[in-house]
Amino acid sequence: MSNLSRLRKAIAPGRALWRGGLAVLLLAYWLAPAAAELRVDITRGSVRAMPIAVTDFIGTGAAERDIGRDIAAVIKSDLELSGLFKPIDPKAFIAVESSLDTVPNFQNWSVLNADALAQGRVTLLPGGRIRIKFRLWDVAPQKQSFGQKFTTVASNWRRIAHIISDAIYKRVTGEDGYFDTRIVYIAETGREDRRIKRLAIMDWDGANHHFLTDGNDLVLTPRFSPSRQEITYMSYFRNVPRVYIFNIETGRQEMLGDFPGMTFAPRFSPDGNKVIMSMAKDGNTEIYTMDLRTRAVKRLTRHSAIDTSPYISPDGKKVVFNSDRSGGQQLYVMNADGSSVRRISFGKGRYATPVWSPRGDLIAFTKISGGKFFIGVMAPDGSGERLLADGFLVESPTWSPNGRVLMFFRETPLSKKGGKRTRLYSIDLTGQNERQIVTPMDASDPAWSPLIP
Amino acid sequence: MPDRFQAVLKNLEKDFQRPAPKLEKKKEKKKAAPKPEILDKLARTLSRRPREFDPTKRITQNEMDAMANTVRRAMAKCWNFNPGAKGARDIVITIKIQLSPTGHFQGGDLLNRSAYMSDPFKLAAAESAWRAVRNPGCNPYDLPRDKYEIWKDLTLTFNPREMFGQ
Repeated sequence: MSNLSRLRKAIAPGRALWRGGLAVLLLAYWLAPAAAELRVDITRGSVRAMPIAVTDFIGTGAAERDIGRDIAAVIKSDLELSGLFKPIDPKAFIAVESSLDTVPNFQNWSVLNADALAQGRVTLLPGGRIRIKFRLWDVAPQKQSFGQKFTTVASNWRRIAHIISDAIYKRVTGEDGYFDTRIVYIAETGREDRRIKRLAIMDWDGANHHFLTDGNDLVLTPRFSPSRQEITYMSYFRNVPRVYIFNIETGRQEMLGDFPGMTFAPRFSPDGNKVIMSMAKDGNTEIYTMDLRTRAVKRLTRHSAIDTSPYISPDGKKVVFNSDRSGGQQLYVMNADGSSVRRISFGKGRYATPVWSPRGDLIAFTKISGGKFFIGVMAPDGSGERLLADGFLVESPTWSPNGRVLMFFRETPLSKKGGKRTRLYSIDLTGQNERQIVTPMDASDPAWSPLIP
Repeated sequence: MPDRFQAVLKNLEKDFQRPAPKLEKKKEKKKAAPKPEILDKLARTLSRRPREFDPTKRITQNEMDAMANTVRRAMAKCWNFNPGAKGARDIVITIKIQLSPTGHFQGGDLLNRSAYMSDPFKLAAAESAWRAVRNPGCNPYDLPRDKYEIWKDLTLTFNPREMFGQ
């Protein structure tokens, strides 16, 4: 605080000091010397997408230029979908640099109000390989932010584009990106009484879509392993729900453990070495972990109420779950060994499917209140609850690996006669930028992968 | 007091339930306070001072506040800040800038620069503040030209607490 503002506080009307007749003395100080410099506290900014110019990557032949255009299109799409960037329409470009080795004419980009300029070059190499060079420029200070070079098989161009998007995102926001990732989800087709549910996988932006299971068995609640190309999910074995592990690369499927009751709601531990899940036996549901290396099983909860939907915190020290032990369904946090259970949700309504953010600072959940569903977040101590999305039915939040974006599914009734439409959506944790993720059919239960290693 | 429409962290529940009148009350309270009159009186006293006081070199708190508010309003528009990042609420960036007599950004320094270099989020936040002070939309700074001595050096401290309702 400057001397002046201190002084101003001291002589604020109504204060004892003022009434005490010190005004005359203080007046002398009021006429501040000119040496006082102006200090300003800025306590708010604007939330605006950053204007960025992404030019088609250059090349010498048509084949190189085609790949270059496709790469630029994926980068623009990634950045635009994040809501944090606004790619400038190429129609507005004044002149595009024909070389990657000279400093751009920044004047051409600053008049477009571009904060950043992304450029690249594609070179075809023998043996079906390509080299991609990339530079990001900071327009106002007229300097390069960073550059990158990749050599890979030509068919990998899409992944390289996502990796470049991640690098731009990281350089500009300071946080890791989430574009080089995949989504598994349940693809649904057929009549409501004969619904076919297949496990499907796609890139985060909907590209490279394919099915992992044939639809003969019902599959639910797929979850990615944080460390391997594996998914855990629930399916039925002899009409009993069981937890399975599926290897994406080999297609191998394995039932996890031989439990005396139904097992469901599986999740991997943050190190990928354990699965935490629920088991229901004799009408009581408790939470268990299984070590995937030793197959040792450990029971964590002991309560007559239903304890389910467990999720281990990213540091591995806590578990969040939901339980109806206080009557309604609420969220609870306990230590990883099952000790020190405490309730964290106290709002009106029921809370379900808690998911701990990979950055540790928030827990996302589904809330059912007043006949409506919500996707919300709260701090791990239960404070700061915010509801981000709502609908007739919204459920199953899953975090992007950087803990910045949530994906969930929303079911919308089509008409009063029946029928429904189920789609995946993403939303920024600030509650802004809700987007539908394009899927070829009804989609539910999304799970976001970590960044692809 | 943060404006509702500018609140950056959406909360559907609050939107439904938040009572609007509270905002009004505070405003009224502010109006009722006699402060401005007293400040005006002081300003008038100042203007009646004998000529040996060069008005360009003396300044009232009112004028000082008005200039600070002008800069604050401009930066609220030109500072593009990402409030969803972890630790965003606690970030503090101080930039000292020099302005030309026409109010244009001339140069400046990021104070405590080394603290930002090791942390990618802090670096990104510092760069966002840096872009704000040289943003063409906020240049020239709309400050009274005859008070140049006061604002030729500006120290700006960026902390987005109001964006979080604090």
